[in-house]
Amino acid sequence: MKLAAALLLALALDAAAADKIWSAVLLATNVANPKPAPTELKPVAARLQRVFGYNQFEIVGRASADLTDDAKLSLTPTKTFWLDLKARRASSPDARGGYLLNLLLFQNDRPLVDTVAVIAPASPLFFRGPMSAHGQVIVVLQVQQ
Amino acid sequence: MKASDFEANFTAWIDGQLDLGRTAAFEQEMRACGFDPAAERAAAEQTRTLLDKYSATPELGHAEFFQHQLLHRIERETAPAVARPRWTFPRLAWAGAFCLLVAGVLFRTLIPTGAEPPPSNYFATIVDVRTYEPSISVDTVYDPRNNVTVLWLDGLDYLPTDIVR
Repeated sequence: MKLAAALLLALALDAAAADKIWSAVLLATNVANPKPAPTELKPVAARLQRVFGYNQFEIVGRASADLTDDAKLSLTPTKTFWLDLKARRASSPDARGGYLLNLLLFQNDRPLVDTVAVIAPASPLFFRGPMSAHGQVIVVLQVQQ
Repeated sequence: MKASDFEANFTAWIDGQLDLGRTAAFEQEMRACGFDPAAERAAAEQTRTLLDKYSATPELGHAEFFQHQLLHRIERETAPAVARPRWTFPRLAWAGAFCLLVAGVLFRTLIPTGAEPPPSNYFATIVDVRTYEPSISVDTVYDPRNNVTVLWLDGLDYLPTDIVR
């Protein structure tokens, strides 16, 4: 009986600890000899090229955190762009075990956009930010299992 | 060549087609011209007998066929003109073929064909969004073909070098 309870607890803890939220700030540019996409962006690199029209995507900062139901946390991929979020596990079957997120994107201490989004695992959400001297700023947010 | 009145009357007299009055008048005219009506009639009878005897009328084979052709021709020439129907079988066949061609072209051009893309597990949807400054606008862009959802911010200030990091 104790063994079964311990196994169930371990499984529950494992499931809860399996989810992570990952965020990165990207610089998108068009260059003559583009570098290969970073490993984290490989699954979406081709789609990013088609949607944003750039041929090179570099990660200038990344951050991740454990994601649990009713989590409140901040992700700071760079000092300039960071996210404040509240997460609740989504009950909709469409979300496929994803989360309902209240997101606040900041540029320094200035809030840019406040949004409520439902994100399933391996379904990145992108924020097209400002242009910079180095290229287009894009913020990506993804739930990982 | 047109026959003269005398020749026409002579032919009719030989064939016995003149009435009694005209027969007597014509025989009188013949005698005046130096012909003997009795001798002329006997010569004509003799010629007719010889023609009947030696002039063989060619016999046509397949009499039924020619009779059928003649009857058919007579029927065709005597039948009242019937209006030809507008939609004859060949026209219907051509119209059907044309419709099939048009349907095929429309199917190829308008109906997407080929393998359906595999079902995607992508799900990122925006329930609500707002910005804090009136100069900044935001649009939700969902590209179903590429499975990408973007919050597209406009009106942000240009960033100088290195401030991103």
